[in-house]
Amino acid sequence: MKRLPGIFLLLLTTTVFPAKAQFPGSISGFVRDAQTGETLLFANVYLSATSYGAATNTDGFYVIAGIPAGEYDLIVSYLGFETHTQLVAVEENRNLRLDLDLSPLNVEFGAVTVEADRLEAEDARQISLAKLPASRIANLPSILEPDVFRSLQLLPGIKAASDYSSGLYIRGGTPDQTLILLDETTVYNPSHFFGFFSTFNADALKDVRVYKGGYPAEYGGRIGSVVDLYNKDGNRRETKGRLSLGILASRILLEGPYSKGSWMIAFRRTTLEPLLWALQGQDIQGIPNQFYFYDLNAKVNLDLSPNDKISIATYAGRDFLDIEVVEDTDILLEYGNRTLSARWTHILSETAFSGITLTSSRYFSDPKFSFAGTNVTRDNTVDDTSIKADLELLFNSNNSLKLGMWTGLFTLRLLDRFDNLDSFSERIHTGYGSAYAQYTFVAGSGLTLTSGLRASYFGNGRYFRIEPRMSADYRLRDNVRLQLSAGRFHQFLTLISNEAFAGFDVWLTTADGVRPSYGDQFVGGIKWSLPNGYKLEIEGYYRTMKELFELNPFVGDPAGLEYKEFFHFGNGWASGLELFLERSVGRLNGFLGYSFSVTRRRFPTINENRYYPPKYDRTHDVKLVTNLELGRNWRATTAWSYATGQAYTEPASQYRLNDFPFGSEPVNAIVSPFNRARLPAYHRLDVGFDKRGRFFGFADYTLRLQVLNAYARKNTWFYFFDFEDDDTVDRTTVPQIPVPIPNLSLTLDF
Amino acid sequence: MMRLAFFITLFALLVAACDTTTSSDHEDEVVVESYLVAGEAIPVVRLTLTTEITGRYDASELAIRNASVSISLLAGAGGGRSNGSESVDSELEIAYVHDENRPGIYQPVDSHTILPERTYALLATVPGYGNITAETIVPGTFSVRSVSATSVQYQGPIRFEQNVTASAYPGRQSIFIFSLEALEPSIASLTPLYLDAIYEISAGEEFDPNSLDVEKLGEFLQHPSPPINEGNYEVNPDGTLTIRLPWFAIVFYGQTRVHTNAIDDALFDFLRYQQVQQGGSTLSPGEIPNVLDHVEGGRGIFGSYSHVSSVVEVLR
Repeated sequence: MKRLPGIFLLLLTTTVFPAKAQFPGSISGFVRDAQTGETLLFANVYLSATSYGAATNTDGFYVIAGIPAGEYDLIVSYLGFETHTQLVAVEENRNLRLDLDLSPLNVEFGAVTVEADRLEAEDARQISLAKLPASRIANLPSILEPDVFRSLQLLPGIKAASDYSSGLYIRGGTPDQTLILLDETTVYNPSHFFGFFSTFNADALKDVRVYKGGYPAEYGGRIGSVVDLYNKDGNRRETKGRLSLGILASRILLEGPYSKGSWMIAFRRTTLEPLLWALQGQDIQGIPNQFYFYDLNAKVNLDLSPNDKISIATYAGRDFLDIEVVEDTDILLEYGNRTLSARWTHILSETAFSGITLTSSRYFSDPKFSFAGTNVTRDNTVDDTSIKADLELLFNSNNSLKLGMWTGLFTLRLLDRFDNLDSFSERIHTGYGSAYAQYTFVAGSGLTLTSGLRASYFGNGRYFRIEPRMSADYRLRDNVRLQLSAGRFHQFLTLISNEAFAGFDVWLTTADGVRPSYGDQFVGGIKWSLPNGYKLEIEGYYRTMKELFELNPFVGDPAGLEYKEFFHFGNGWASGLELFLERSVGRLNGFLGYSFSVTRRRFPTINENRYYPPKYDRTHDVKLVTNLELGRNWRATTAWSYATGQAYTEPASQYRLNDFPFGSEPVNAIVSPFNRARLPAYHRLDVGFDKRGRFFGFADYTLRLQVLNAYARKNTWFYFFDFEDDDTVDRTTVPQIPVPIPNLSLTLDF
Repeated sequence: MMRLAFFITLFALLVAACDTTTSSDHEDEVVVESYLVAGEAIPVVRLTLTTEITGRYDASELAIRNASVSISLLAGAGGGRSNGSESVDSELEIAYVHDENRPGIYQPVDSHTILPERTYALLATVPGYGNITAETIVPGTFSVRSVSATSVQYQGPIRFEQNVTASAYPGRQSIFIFSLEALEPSIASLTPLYLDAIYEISAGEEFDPNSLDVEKLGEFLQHPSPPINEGNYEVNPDGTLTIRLPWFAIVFYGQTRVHTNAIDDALFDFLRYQQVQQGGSTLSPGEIPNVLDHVEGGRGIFGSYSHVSSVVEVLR
């Protein structure tokens, strides 16, 4: 890979600047939902019977350039919307500004089946990119609350660590290898309920995209993948609302237009207080004194002119738990995130689009423990303030360039206090920056090449890294495309977390002696649009993980250690094959996903420095999701998962320190090959039913009954080995969710 | 197309059917156990075997009775193979013999007082298992300069603090293990946290101590802290450390002996890895690493420490 930067530079310099840019004519504009005015991301816009076409960008804007003068049928398509066809006249050397509104398909349960949208935006289907419409997230069976990340876990290549975790393990990577962006702002701990739920309110989201690997040069900072989420802009036509009442939490969404644009506000909060009060009245020990989480999403859009738009988005979420586990103890756990972003998009010309975004993100975690008058506290914050700028240039129908930069200040503060004295303190305040160039060349004959180069700098440790990226897309036939991508990725941060509990998450960074992690990714795939609305995607990948720096799990006490002594350094790799068969139309729709994957890690402190499968390694993974419309107002949804049992350590031998001098009991130890055994295979079925209708004439209602783990599969989370008083070792099975969990919710749209 | 979906599902299930659950195999290994204490007599050595995880642990049955054991004091201050040299001379070699009354225990033939900041080496030759070797560098001795009080009221304004001199160890800060030894243990003298944690009895709740299982107190009579770095404590201008006793460490009211132990690398590594075996680290649940020991050819501990102690009375 060391030669690759040179090759990419050559590609850029030889192809970015064509001998002479031609602008025979162009069409550009926004594509919006006719009903709400929301911009549609990655909608497909093209001229019939020609090779001229484009997809809208993340602001819903498209440009088709280099069009010879003449009349054309312009076709706009977007999944779930009626295809729009319009006759347009293109004049030489002129741009036709054409903002387009698409009408949502009028889908009534049982009355009309969704028609096949054979013109689905193929251009938007980049390699390793998965999209999940917000509507599908809401429909999928969920544990008490619709959950974005748990829905993503149903896609091939994306795994969950357990039923209790919403963390994303994508293509063999840990959750910290995935960049989470909400309206272009990094979110550092995207969880509620200490990891059980993801932090995003599905009602507030417009678009969720996941780059599972091989992502383009416009993203950076993680060696694995990217989850890019966008809040709704708000309804630009009328004021609307949605109220959802659930067992765990209730949600409200309000959105509407104003004279200069639109607004949206969504709030969600747990509503467990009545249950807690009732349990507290029973004098049951271990019931929290207080427990709640909330989150707020809000966004305002201001249309300064047809070519200038400003949007301001914010998110605030907080989890709080106050519990006395035993006498004379008190545990206060509090953590959350705040984000704020302001984006100005400006159409510079008919073929140039720019965006500038200011972002601010804060993660805080302040657990406090009091044990018999001994206070143990942690004060942990991450502040990340940045500015991003992107420029999209379209030279002609064959050549386009994206340029961008991202720079900011990262501040980490970690103060641990024990017994009212500082026991550990770390403050990292550092600048970072990156710039990228991404060039796309439509070579003709169905071949599109994209090459990119990203340069990144991280202040703590003064690391400068170059990341070449490339991808190729070849349309073999009208409905078949072959895709390849490769790239290098760097990461300057690492997350200290635990699969079982995300409430104490701490981010740490590179430094002197702590080099950035990096990895190379190679992805190849085929996408095949089949008759009757079926799509088949097959992808294979191989990725490396080098110079991983993770908290050394055997550093129990960091006091007095040098920063680099906190870590152990290792390597890893992952490879796999993924199949995704989807039918997104018809009375029966859904998808079937299968992945075969292998991932390994090697650290000198574990398994005698030999490669081992981490717990989340799952060789086979099958997901089947179906939606079935059952008559006029009913819908049934199922999600079935199967996965190879996770790796775990089955102890082989035991021994004992009988004369241990510091305690009155002996010390027991076990000997075992690390993670060589496998838990029993995992499988689970979730089912849900929706009933829809009018609610006393003033709102549409959706009554939703869902059951998780419908056939009560007792999946194993892990085994716990306990040394008993009779000198034997007892193996206790700690289960995943072992019983069917019902969920009932009522949603009113008004 | 449904046929394609069917075949993909069938393929996935067939491949998944090949998923196997593997099991681990036990292999007998020699376990060494010996703790050298600076300034005290050379200790006994215990030799046992590991046993299957599914079996019952019986130290007597697992005892090794036919080994040849010796401990050597290596030449040079802090010297020995631990410091990188290939071979070293020994100043002193002490032979051991098996104590027939205590299976697996080997007694030194000669007397010797353990020297601080020196390296000792163990050699055990066990028929059928070969040579088992280990080394330890004994931490430097230290002392208690003063204590803040001889009696303190539980959770009162006055804290029990020890002012101790520094202990030396080559290449790193001192690592301490604290342990509290209850000199007047009883159910009735449990502090509220432990009364609830052990017997689920809340403060103020009436109970009959005689009706409770006193065996449950066993592990609390003397219980150790995890390894704690010297870096946690502020160094006083005179080079001493002030070490404060946290209230939550006190299990029983009454006379309590506070042991402060500076440990060697063998103990430090063994205990911090063994702690991770019990869970609570950043490893996923179910991932259990082996303990890092410093024993070649076997497992266990050939470790050393130096220690001081003070007594404090904890009043209700």
